[in-house]
Amino acid sequence: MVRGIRFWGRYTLETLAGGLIVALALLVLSGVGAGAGSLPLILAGLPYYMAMGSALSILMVCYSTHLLYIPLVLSMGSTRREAFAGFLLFRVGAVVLPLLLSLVLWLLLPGQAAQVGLSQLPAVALPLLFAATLGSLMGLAYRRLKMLGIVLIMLLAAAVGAGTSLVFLGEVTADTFSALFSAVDAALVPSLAVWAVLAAADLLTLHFSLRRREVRL
Amino acid sequence: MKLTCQDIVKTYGGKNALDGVSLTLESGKIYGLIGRNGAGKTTLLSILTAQNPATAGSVTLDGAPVWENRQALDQLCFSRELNINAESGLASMKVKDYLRLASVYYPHWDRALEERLVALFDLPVKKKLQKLSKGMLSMVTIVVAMASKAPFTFLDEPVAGLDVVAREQFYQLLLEEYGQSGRTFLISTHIIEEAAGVLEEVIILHDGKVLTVADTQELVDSARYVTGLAEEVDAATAGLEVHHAARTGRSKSAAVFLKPGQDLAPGHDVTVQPMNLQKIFVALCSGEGE
Repeated sequence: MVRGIRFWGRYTLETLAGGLIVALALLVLSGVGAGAGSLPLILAGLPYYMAMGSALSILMVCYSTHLLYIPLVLSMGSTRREAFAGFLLFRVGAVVLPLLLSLVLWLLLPGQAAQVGLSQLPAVALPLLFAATLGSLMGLAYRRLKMLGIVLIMLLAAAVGAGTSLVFLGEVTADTFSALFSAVDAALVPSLAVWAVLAAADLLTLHFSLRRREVRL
Repeated sequence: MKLTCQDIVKTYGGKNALDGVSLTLESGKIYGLIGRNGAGKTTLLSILTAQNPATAGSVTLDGAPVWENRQALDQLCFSRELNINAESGLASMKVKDYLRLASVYYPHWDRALEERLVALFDLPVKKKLQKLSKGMLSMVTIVVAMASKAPFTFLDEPVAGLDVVAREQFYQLLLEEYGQSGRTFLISTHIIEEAAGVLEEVIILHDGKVLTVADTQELVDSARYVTGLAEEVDAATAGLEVHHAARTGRSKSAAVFLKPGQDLAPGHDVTVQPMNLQKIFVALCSGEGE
């Protein structure tokens, strides 16, 4: 139990760090795009950037968990139950920690933008939840159907590239995120329902996949 | 402690990679697992350590199933041959991270031994696994196997890629660790004659089946290589277990295995030579000759 927490806890923190780095990069890019006069607005967008950066980081780590971390821990004597629980623990931590950071940031920041952000916290959680589930499903897809996994990764890379370009050009600001998450907020319940179905499919697939998985490094 | 596998079958695509393998590994011995490529050695090791589910059969440690049994798995270490390629998830992992992970997961991990072995092998711990030579990768697996201090430790081709000096170092290390700890080691290897000196018991796997499990010295002592005229060889070896008989013109050669109390029939004009473990293995597994 302790060794699982040590291992998966470490990767949770590394994933959070990855998300923060992406968030800071987006912050700098949006600053370049928007100009110094919009500084308070840019800062108010930091939690959104953190959520998006964390979502990207979570998605990539969940994807690579199937290729690396799961076979690795199984090869070193972990049971499949422990690997399943550890991966779940990682995903809960990877979702909750950035949300907590966002909450703290918005509580500390003054102004209307922060208040709006606080009210959108459930909506901000959504990309993190989807990232944790979709990343795992993509990893499972890659193991079973390699070409499908590659295509999904390429589409993701294209989306990330497009999004980053928009941030750099100043087309995407904190206002954009606020509007985006307002739209998500309006569709929160159906979105959560979709996520729940995907999450159930992911957990079931992971359980059955792990049960008979042969470790290959 | 005893690790027992009973009637293990492993099927891939309708073909049995392992076909009814039953073994008991006892505490405090060094076993050798030898077999041709594709005999099922790695498959057997991965099943013994619950890294591969058997199609049928069971693996138990002192009667308790090993599969999904944390207490049993804590007593086992399977240090497998690392094959790092660009697609391998391990490729970008650094040596120090791999060893750190091992130290977290093996409950008996010996940090001091790990450090000593890293220094002995001069392992570049900050390098990525994909940057290591085959020999260095073997050294990493040896460090994990030794430092794990697991009561049952399995090494799959630990000397692959090692030069002769490094191989000697490994055998010395193995004997030293075995002498100090009394752990059970099971080593699969293709470099049979070198390893023969350290192996107490040998398990020969052929086409997914256990051909023989024997005390190494007793097996070697029981084997004879008989050559001479065909009729003389046939007469001398009548009623005995003969393998790898080969005829060249009027001459014949054969490997003979004597059971306790048996001997070659006297009074025949044949040349009898002892056989080393490697020659015994070839005689049993080559499938050539008569």
